Amino acid sequence: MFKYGQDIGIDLGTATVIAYVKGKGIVLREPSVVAVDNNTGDVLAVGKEARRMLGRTPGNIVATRPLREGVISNYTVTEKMLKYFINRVCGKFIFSPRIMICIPSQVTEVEKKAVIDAASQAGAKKVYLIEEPIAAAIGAGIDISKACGNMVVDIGRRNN
Amino acid sequence: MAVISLGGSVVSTSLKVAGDKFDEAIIKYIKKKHNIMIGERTAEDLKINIGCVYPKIQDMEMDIRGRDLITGLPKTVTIHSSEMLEALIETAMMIVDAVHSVLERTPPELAADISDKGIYMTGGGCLLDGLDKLLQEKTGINVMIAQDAVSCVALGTGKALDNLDTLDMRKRK
Repeated sequence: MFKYGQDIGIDLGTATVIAYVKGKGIVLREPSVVAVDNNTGDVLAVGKEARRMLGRTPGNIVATRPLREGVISNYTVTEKMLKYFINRVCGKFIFSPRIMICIPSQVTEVEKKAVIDAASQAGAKKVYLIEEPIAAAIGAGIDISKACGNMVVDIGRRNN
Repeated sequence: MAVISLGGSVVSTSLKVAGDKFDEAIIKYIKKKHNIMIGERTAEDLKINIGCVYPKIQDMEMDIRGRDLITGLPKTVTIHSSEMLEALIETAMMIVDAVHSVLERTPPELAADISDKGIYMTGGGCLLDGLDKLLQEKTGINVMIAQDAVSCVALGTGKALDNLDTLDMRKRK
């Protein structure tokens, strides 16, 4: 069948971004660090390369983690980071992908909106959100559709 | 963390305590005890290599380098895992307390299911040595670490993608 873009699942973690592509498995695992040149506003490095720059940058370059405590703290940089990662996962696809991003439980509507906007701006056709504990439960292989209680403790880098 | 039933979360809480809080605790501890300032990455290395929140059978040690706060010069010290326990236990207890408070708010039927099935731990933070044992001891409930804990969430989002079309349908209704 003709393929209309890809479906990507993204764990937008404060420390690491992990992307999963349907049928391919986990395709990307990079630290969520972005290095930006303050003078020009250009992104110099994303991921592993940018992580090495943390704490070792000269005055005009800032290496930051654009997410704090599981939510977006620097919108522009998050958008650029997502764009870079999505490009790397999809290559130059004509059709933009559908993306599912997980968010911590109990985030505000504004924070949810920020994630949706950043992902759409980064090139997603449609953005879906899923709560982290639920995603973690599915990933752990728990059948969550049953009427049965399951407790999941997800301890990330900044959040649980 | 959340209690999940029928595809939705029943009780959930989000705690701003996780990996980086452990690193901060280590930095603070080393500063107080050894008068040495270390960087975030060194703290993380310490946590990954010798960090623990439950007494280890075998004491481990690691050499770290940092800046001496008194002389202002670089200095090397040896840190033991027993010191890590001291540094991290307070932060770990915050997680245990949060689990406790979620359990308190869980409806009795679901609480029974949980005590039967156990608590699942996922995420990179749960790889901290002894956290599962600590939680098991304090709650009395079996604690399991999920396979491939670090990428659990990504795997889950991926699997949820397979059901995107059903999700789409539900939204349209």
